[in-house]
Amino acid sequence: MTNEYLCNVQNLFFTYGGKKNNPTLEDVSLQLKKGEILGLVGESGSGKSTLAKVMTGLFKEDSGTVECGKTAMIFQDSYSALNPAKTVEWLLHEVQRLQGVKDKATRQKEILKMLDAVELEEQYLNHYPSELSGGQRQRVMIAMALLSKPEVLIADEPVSALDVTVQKQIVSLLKRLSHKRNLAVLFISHDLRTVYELCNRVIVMKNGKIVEEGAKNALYFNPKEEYTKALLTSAGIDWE
Amino acid sequence: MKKTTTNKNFMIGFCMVLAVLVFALAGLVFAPFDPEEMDAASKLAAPSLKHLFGCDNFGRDILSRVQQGTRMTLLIGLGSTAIGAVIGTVLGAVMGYFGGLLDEALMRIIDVLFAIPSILLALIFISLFGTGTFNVILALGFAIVPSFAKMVRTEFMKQREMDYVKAAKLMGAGRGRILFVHILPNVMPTLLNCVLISLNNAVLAEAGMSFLGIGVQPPQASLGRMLSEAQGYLQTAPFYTIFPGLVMIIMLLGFGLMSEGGGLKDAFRRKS
Repeated sequence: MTNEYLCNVQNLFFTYGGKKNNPTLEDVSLQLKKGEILGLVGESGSGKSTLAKVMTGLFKEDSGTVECGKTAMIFQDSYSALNPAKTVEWLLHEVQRLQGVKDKATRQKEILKMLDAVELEEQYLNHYPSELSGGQRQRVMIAMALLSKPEVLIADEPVSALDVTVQKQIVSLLKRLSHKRNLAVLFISHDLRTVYELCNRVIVMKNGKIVEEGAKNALYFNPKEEYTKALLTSAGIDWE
Repeated sequence: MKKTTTNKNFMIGFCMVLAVLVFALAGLVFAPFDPEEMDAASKLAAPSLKHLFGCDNFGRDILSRVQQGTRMTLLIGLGSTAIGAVIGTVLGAVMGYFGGLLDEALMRIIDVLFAIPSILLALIFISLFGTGTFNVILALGFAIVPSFAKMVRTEFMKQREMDYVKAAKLMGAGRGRILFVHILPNVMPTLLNCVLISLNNAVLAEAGMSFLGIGVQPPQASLGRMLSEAQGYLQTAPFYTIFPGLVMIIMLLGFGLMSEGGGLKDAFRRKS
């Protein structure tokens, strides 16, 4: 990995269940710089979430290289991503326990700071995930991700299950946090408007391949590929 | 509405088990007679103020023996369930979470063991290692292991696909911590229900084994042993059968209502 990039993926191939003739990811390459928010768009089944899982190390690539700094992930379904048997407080302590922070008071202090950063009230600490709203659960997820002090944050459709108002709140929160902490963010979504609002650069994926990438204004208002044009049209974005 | 009904069942069951437990433990502090003390003059004496439940064929006080027998039956039930639950949970967790060849191999062994009734498995164990309370606990405990392992395996297979497990992996949690700190609490509601059903089965199996003469050995009392001894006196001294039988019915019904009511599940499963 060069100093310029926090995350460098080169010629990545990945296949589920070893079916070599039908790769889920095919020759994928991307780079993420410090402080950059990179959007990853594409229709369902295009391989976006699989790419995220390979980049975090949850899946092992068949070939190619993945070199990323310390990575954390925000999952799409916050209901499934937060342990239902544990309170928010336990979950936030656990992240730090796993980071080796042994002193409970230090952990608690850090948790209070983080709650402030993600704009979640302290009263929710003793709640279980099922007692929180979708937006609150997503804030807990973000707090957990940030407590692990990542350099790269991968957000896999973090707002797709939320209503529009809460979506806007979470997107602006991600934007502020990324800016403040100089985080590299890979923001995966099929909502092109949200991606435009949040990201600096955008990658378009289709059938496991990157079909187009570029700065957001260039890609949104001067798309080269037919697939990108179709995506923009279906999202009601006037690219012509 | 349904929840109220199920919790009512749980509470009734809980009170029944608690009553049996208090009755059994009271015998440690206050038993009217030594449960093993024989009195030839009181052989098969009917219930009276002196002997509230009457006397058995050796003139021993049935109330004191039922108290001792209930303690013994509970000890065997709890002991064997604990062994089955602990070993079965560890095995099931490892099989369900890791899968692969180990899971396949262990599942085939469990399938074979599952095909043999638990009581028969326990009988094989007893014939190999001999009778006695400790061996009965071990025998029943090992006989229960397959059912716990199978149930826990299924639950772990479901849970391992949840995103919170992936999140824990990403945070750097080790396998042991993921299995027993992150996943196990989510399996607890089902596991506890299984424990209650298993307690029921263990009490019945102990009674069956003692009835056949391979369980608790004389002069120690157990409910099954007492029923076995009383069968010859069913017509002449029905109280000899009725009292140990009644305590066993209350205990089994109590455990049954508790597991059916799902109250323990409710206690563990948070508002959703």
